Amino acid sequence: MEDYKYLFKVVLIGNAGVGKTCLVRRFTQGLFPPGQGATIGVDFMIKTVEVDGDKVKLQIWDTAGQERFRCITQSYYRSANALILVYDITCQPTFDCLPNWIKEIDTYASSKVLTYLVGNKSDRLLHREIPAEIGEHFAKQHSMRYLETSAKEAENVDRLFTEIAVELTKQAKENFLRPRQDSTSGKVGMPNGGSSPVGGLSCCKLN
Amino acid sequence: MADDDLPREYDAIVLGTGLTECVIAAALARIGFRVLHLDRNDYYSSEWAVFNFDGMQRWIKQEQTRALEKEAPFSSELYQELLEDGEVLIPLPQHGTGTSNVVEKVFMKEAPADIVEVEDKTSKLSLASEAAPNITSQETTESSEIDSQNVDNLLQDSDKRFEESVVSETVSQGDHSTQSQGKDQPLTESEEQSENAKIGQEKNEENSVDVAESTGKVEEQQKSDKTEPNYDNVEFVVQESDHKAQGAGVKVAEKEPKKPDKVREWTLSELKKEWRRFNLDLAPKMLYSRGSLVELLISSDIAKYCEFKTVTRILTHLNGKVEQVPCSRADVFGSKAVTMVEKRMLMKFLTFCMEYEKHAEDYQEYQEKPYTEFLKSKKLSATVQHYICQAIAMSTDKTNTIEGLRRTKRFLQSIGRYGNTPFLWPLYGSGELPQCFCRMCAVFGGTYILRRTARALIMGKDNKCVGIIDTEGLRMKCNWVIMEGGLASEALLPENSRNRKSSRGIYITDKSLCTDDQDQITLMHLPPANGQTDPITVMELSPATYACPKGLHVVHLTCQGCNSAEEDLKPAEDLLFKPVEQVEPEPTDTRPRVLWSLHLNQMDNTGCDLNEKTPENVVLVAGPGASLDFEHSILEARQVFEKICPGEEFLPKAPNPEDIIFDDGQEAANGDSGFEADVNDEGADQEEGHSQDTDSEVDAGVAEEGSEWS
Repeated sequence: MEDYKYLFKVVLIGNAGVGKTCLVRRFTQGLFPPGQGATIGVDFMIKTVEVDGDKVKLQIWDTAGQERFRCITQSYYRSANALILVYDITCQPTFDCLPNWIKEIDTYASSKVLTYLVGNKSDRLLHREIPAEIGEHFAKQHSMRYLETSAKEAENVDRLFTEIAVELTKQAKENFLRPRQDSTSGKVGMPNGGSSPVGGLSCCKLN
Repeated sequence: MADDDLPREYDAIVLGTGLTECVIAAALARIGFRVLHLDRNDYYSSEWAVFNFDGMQRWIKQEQTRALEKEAPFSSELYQELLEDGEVLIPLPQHGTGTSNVVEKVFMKEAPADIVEVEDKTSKLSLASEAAPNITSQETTESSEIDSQNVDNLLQDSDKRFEESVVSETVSQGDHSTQSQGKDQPLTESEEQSENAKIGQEKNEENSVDVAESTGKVEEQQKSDKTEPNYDNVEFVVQESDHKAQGAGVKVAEKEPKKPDKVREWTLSELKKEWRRFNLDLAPKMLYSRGSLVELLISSDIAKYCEFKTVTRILTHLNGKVEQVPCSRADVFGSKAVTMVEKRMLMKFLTFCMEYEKHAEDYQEYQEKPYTEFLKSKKLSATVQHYICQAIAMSTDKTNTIEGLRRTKRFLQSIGRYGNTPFLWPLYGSGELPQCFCRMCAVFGGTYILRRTARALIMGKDNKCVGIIDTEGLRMKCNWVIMEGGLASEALLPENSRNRKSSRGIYITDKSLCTDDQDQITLMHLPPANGQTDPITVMELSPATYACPKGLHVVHLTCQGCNSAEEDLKPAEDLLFKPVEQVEPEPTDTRPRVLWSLHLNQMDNTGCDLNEKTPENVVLVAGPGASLDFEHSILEARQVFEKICPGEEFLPKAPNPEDIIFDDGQEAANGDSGFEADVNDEGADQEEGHSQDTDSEVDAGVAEEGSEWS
């Protein structure tokens, strides 16, 4: 039996081709570029990290290609503990689409969700179209945290996910110390399915 | 951009994202089919969709546009160059819709009235009389009744009416301000502020209230808001029933343990401000805990994409009152509504129903006779007969005994798996379920494009469809087309397919049908009226389902369509809700008041063979229909899948992503199937601090057992 203290659902969004899958693969498997077609049938990737001696399991969900025609289902956002909104620093249109993504987040995700704006492909400095300050400013305006990453060079990738794990663990502990009135008790997981609802932060998630 | 490298050849093209289409799409992708899934709408789930308040407004507008728009004549010359020799096109209607008679009504004022300068907290309360809000709402009601053709005018109109409303409100205020409101709950400004603060700060999923947090906010807000007029304080009316304190009222509840239920008077603008917190289903349905959808969600592991709550109570309308039907053993024991003798009768009869097939001698002579006669012969009391026939078997006087017994057993079988009623309700609405199957399809390589559909089917030789022309003018080849029946042209549909319809009403109300406590999910059936043969289904959703913000409820009425939904549902509305046309409702009338309603008719083609006239590789599937559950859809999806891929497994469990686990860079294969581990983990989680949920969360152990009635 696995042994972990918290399980968090982390969800990636952003335009096609910005490197979402590469970020996940780099973090979970240390690979770049990921194998072709390897994502078929893979719902999410798992990696366990340690935060202050506690094992924290990150369940990282990719868009399954539904971002390509802007057809992400609402339910994809529903129980996310953290969202990573990715754009490509060498591709202005991927940055220009951010407001659309933020609208989706506002509509479907929990307001408490921890959101990161990530400018990927930071290794391709010569092709940069969006200065870091612009990205950072945009993130600030929308109460997101900001990082630039390179899945190719493994730059800031571990840091991104580790920061998320640390912050979510902190939130989970705070919520544990401060019991809440819960109007959503009585949720049903379907235990036979081996698919218990994501736990860990569920005291937050449930609220 | 993405069109350029979009493949032009598929094994199956699926049109429409209703549940049946989505289940088929997922099942096909799961076994390696290349699937292209299109929907002409910009939202998922077609006629099964769920919308927030904003989305619902857009949908209403869209439907009224579609109803009026004329179909542009189809000219196949446009596409000649895409066709090969001998191919012909079957155009598909672009504006056709299975929905009709969409009527929205608003029974609220447009905006909060700025009536009082807030000075003295106690004097403010005098406004919270029971009559005042109703008088004003009446003013609004008469003039704000609109049909869908006039939605655009609504805002302007109600602005004008707003002035009238203010006048009448001021009058009624005078009438009541001198009355003592002894039982009124003294609301402090800070409570109200914290309520507002919450609304501003949280979005649609944050239903519960963090006590510590909101108390903190209260103080802040008090300072900053002193200068602003505060209307909301006048909006609370006190209800007789008491229940657990919640939300911002916690501070008061400490001083005053008997905290009454408060009914807030909402305005349209306030409701719109909370648009995200609504999840309004076009075709709400419940899952039998042992029904085919639950089994499919579990066996395919698609359950991981969705969450459910158990339906908490079954109500019935008996002797002019709404009361709860005891249906689990515990309920029967605990019920105050039935006598000891009746309890024994009910217990005995329900236990018999679980294995009625073994006791054919008991019901043989009644088989074809009405179930009610059989119940009478069992010497059950009138109350117990009513419970069994209406609430448990969901039957009418005409239902025969064998059918009644079958339904009773089906109901009982699902009790105890997840809760004290047989049903589950999907959080965020049943319109989320089709999307869960879409996700599975996409994970297995399916391509999704919304806002696009097929303009025409391309027919090759031998009456076989070889592909489609999509609405972007692209030719897409395929071996199979699966489509929502409502999208098909008359040429493809059988004659009788448009004969049946269902009537639906969606109501936002100010309180529960049967106030008890807040977090109920309710199912109820009313006897048929006006020529219907089946009972009318009533579902009531509390904010705990995320159907609406705190302080409101959503009621769904569904029945067979004989006339327009408005006409069909009027008798049920009269029974359940405060009369909107009555100027001075009885003070003793504790029924909920409707604030907003939507009526619609949906084509119900669940009862006919849709594929009499279709080419052999084009499959039409039915829409949601009027039934309470998902059984028809799942059965149909399975049949279509078997037709397309005989002998293949239907949605086998996807490989568990957790089998690949990377722990600090080292691969550690997890041999567990995931089931035991997950359940145990969940248990561990609960011990670590989810005690609130421990009682009600489903225990895996329970799930393994049979029905508690067996």
